[in-house]
Amino acid sequence: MRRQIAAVVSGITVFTTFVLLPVLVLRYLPPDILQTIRSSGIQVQSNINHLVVIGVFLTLVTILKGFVEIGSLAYLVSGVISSGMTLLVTIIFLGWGKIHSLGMPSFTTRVEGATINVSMDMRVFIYVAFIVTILRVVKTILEWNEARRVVNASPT
Amino acid sequence: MRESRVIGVIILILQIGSFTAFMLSGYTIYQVLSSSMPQTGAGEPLKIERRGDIAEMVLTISPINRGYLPVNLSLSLDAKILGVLIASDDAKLTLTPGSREDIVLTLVVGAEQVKEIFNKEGSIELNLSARTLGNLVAFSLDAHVEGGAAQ
Repeated sequence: MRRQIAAVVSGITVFTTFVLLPVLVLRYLPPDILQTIRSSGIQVQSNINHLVVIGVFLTLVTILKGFVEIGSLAYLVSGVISSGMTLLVTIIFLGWGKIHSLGMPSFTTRVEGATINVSMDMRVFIYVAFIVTILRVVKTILEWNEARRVVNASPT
Repeated sequence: MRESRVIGVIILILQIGSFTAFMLSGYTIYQVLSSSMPQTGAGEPLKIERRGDIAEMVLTISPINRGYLPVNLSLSLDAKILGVLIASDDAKLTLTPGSREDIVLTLVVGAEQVKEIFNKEGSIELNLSARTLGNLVAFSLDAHVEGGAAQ
């Protein structure tokens, strides 16, 4: 029962972070700031849509993981998928919507006769996200393996 | 299950640590950069002082580190005519949390070159770079201002 409650709470957190919050931010962001962001080439609406789609899918997978048997294939698959999708969301977020930037996003904008190029280097957080993803997959495999051993060892 | 619990704790520490580091470095860089932008309100950001045949173009920036991490700041200012570098100045410094510095960048050019820099053939380039969290996180801004808009 505790696992199921924890899964629902996690699902709600994921939904709030990756679906609700981006939609609300887009809705209540001042129009002039939105226009400035759009003029720099960042596809705000498109990026938010990607985030929402991934967020909904991630929510479902997170909740599913809490309701299936730990020793089942569904648990293993949902665990690996949720880890991968969390990594994907992190890469999208740190790349300002550009997955290929891998933590080094940049954009160029023109303002009153001036060309401004802005870039960031946040690769360290991408590296940490990769390490966390690998550890999460390993943890899922260990839990799944241990549960299967318990199931196979129990008398029929 | 013990190994998975240990890994779970490690994951939690990494996630909390990286989130904290991300917020601290982002906030620090934002604070420093927002105070580093040349003020365009009262007066011109680039002051020109003429002394006979020589003209000095002076840009003064006073960044303040209201963040929580030290920031390595580097700035450079270039003046170009038809893409050729005429004058350049740069500065590098480290701003500790709570500190403030005045940075003065001076371009010394011939008095007759000032007009060329500020017409369509000339340009002013400002490069600003801020690094924090042991130089692991960086933000850089390159502004290329064409002659007619530079003044």
